[in-house]
Amino acid sequence: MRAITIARRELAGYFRSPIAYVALAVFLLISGYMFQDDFRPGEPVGMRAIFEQMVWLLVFIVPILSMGLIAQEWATGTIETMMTAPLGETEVVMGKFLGGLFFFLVLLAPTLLYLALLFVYGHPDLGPIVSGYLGIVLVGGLFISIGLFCSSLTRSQVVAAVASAALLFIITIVPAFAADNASLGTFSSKLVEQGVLAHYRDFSRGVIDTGGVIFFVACTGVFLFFTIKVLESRRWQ
Amino acid sequence: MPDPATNPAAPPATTQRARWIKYGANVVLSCVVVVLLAGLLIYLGETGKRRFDMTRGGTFSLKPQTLNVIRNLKSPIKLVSLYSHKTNDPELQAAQSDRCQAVEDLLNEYKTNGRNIEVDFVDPLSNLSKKDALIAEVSQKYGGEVKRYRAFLDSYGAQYDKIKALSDAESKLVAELPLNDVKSNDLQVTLATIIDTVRSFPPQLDEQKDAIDRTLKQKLPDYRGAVSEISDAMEQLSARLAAIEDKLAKTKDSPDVPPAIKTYFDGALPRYDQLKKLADGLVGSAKNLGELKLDSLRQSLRDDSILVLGDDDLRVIGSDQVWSLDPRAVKQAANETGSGEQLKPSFAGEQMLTTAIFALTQPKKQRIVFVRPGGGPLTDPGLLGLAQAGGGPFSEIAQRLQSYNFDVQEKDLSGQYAMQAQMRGMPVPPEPTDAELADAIWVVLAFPTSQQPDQGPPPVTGARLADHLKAGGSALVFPFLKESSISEPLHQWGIDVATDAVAVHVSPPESDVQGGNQLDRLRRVPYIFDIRDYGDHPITRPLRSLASLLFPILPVTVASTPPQGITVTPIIPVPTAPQSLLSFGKRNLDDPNADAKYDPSTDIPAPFFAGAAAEKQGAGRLVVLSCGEEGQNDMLDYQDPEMAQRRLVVPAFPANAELFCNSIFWLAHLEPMLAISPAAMEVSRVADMSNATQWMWRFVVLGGLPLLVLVAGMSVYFARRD
Repeated sequence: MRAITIARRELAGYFRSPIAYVALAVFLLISGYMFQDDFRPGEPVGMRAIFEQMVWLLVFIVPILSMGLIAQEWATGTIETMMTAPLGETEVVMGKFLGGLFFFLVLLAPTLLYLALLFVYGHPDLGPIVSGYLGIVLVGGLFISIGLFCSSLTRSQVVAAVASAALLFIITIVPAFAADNASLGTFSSKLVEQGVLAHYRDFSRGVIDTGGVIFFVACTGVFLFFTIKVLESRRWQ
Repeated sequence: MPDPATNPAAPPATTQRARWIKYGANVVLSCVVVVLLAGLLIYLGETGKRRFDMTRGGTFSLKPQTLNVIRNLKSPIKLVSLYSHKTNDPELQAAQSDRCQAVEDLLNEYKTNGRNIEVDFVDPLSNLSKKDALIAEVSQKYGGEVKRYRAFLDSYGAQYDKIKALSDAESKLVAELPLNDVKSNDLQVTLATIIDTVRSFPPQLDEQKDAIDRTLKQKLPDYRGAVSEISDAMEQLSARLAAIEDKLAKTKDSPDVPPAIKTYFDGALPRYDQLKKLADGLVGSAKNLGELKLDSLRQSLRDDSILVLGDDDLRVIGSDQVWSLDPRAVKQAANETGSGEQLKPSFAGEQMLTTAIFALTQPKKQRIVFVRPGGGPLTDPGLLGLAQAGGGPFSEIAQRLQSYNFDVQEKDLSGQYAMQAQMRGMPVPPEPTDAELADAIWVVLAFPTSQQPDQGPPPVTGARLADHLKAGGSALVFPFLKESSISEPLHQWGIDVATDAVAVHVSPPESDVQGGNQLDRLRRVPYIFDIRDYGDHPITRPLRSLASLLFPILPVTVASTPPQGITVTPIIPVPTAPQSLLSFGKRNLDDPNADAKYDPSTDIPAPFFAGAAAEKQGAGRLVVLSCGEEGQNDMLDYQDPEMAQRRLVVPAFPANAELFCNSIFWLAHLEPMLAISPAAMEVSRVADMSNATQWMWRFVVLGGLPLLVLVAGMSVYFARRD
């Protein structure tokens, strides 16, 4: 319950911050541009193109949203208040994570307008759209957990943003390009198959793969655990 | 904290370093454990995963037939998409992207659901490194044949030198012949022709050698092309030498030939013969080289294709096999109609892929022989593979069976067609030997060979069928009206077919006669039935609710106590009252379109069936389908009129082909193949809208929404500042 309180506070904080609005506007601008690929007369009615491309956009947007989750607390000095409050590190981290995730859902909400347009001008199949949104939320959750982890490692928000963007780049974009390389060995190929896009691909097509769900949930859990450990380490340092 | 200096019982003070090591080690250990647990969870999630296809039409769900095949693969299969995302025509780019996406999705499904399946995507136009790697892989894997071709091409060099040396020598000799000493004009022309021909050999050989060298210097050497060029060149040389020898033989003894020329010709004939033997030898060696897999790869790299690579063979699935309509044809049709409406192609990717994988993983080809009592071939593909251009009525089903890796042949029991063909100088189609016939699955078309049963030679179909079944063979039998010789062999298996009756139904009520589509009107004809329930047998279970057109149906019944050791199951129950219109077996049917009236004294009462399947313990199997038109091209080609109006190419009677193929699969003990073949898919598309509307929505999406968010942000900023 205390985690929910922290989440609500974080969410409110997002709406007070100009950076969140800028990030939201940029996200809508770029995703709107991507939507043009789906919203052309004669194109299959669906949001597959936008779902596939959105992940690339999130690699750069999510670090901006998550960079201040913990780093800002360090910079403003409110970390001491937070650490001395009767709250466990787990509750703090979960609260921060949920706050980021809720704002991420707010970020996605305007894209429902695209869905409404597709209903007006076609007969979209709802199944793939539901699975697409589920996939994006799972990817968003993973990215936020990574952003939160990077934010916990430094006092500087910029460093946190850059670090998480780099990490997201490595796990998302690099395997996608490496998959086109003909000279990968078996081990490398297997490693490339563990990239985010490889697990996300089915969701964007309209298939909910329980293996993919477990992958995203497990990886999110790992990074949240790391974040908790980082915060705990502050106490005994 | 107690001071260890004053209180010896107190624990010693820890330094910061020791604390870091203690707590740090704990953190590292716990992180490692968590990562391992997460890895284990992910691994278990991958191994035991479930997939839920959320699409309306199950687009990403492979059919049971496919799953049966790919889940039990014992040898590795690699699927390679060679579809290019780029196209030269910008108007076709969207269609090309759709096609690429559909193929990629399909291949990913095979990889996810199959065992021992690897998948790769190579864009031959933009992904050159992968293309080269693929060429190297195919060359190495199927290199055995390349070695044969290379050996032939290497040995050609020495043969070419011999041929060139001989033709050079002859060319020099004929150049010195005194042609002006020939008095007769005709003889002069003949000799001049011979001399010119011989003199043209060396430059032509040089040209051909250059062409062959250019062919071999390509990045993917065209060995087959080079061998074809050699073979063509040598065939040409041999034909010209034969013509020269023939002319020489006729003219050399003419008294008008000068002695010098006569002496030359006497000595030249053996040399020409030697040259011809060299050329013929090369032609023979080239013919024995067999197929070259690398050539299949070369062809596939030119067009959008899917490669299926097995252990020792590969299949190329061209885009014309996967897509029923080429995008260029669609665009042309749209341009011609001028309405902008486009035809939509059907996608047969899963069917073709599964067929190819199945073919590659079968150890040996099962033989199927279409046995006919007489008449012309039934499975001949016709001119250019078009059944309409002189092909047999079963050519399409035969092609389909061949794509399933069956070896399809024909046997004319009368032997008359072959005799007539020989008399007309036409090629005689090869027939199986007796041993091959004994080992094959028979498809028996038991039609009468004469309009008058008491005239003409007695039918032998029944007797031959009986022998085949007695010897443990299996057969699919199509009885026909007025051909009763097969009744006895079928009766021995507990199956009775009334070859003198046709199943008909009474006319529908007057109120039902009006309206309906073309197919509804067809089904009101007395001897045409709308059958959707095909009975409970492995052959027919997967066909439930599929449409079929089966006529004319000869009533089939099965013995209540079949002969010992035989299990017989009736299939395809003919619908009758009360669920449907009253049906019966009509004898003495003079006018097929007349209203059918049941005559209890002669007609056969319902219920009866349109087929039966029987199995003898430790011996063969037998399927009877008493609907002679069942597997013919006309039935398979008939398009669904409703779908055609929506510009979709979908067969109207898919059960016809499936029933035939399932019967063959069951006879061949290929039960895993018994399921519905993949069907065409339909995609809903964004409706047309005017440019103004499109721009309006573009403005709202690209400008309106982000602007709204920025305005909200600025409001909050100014409000907080105040």
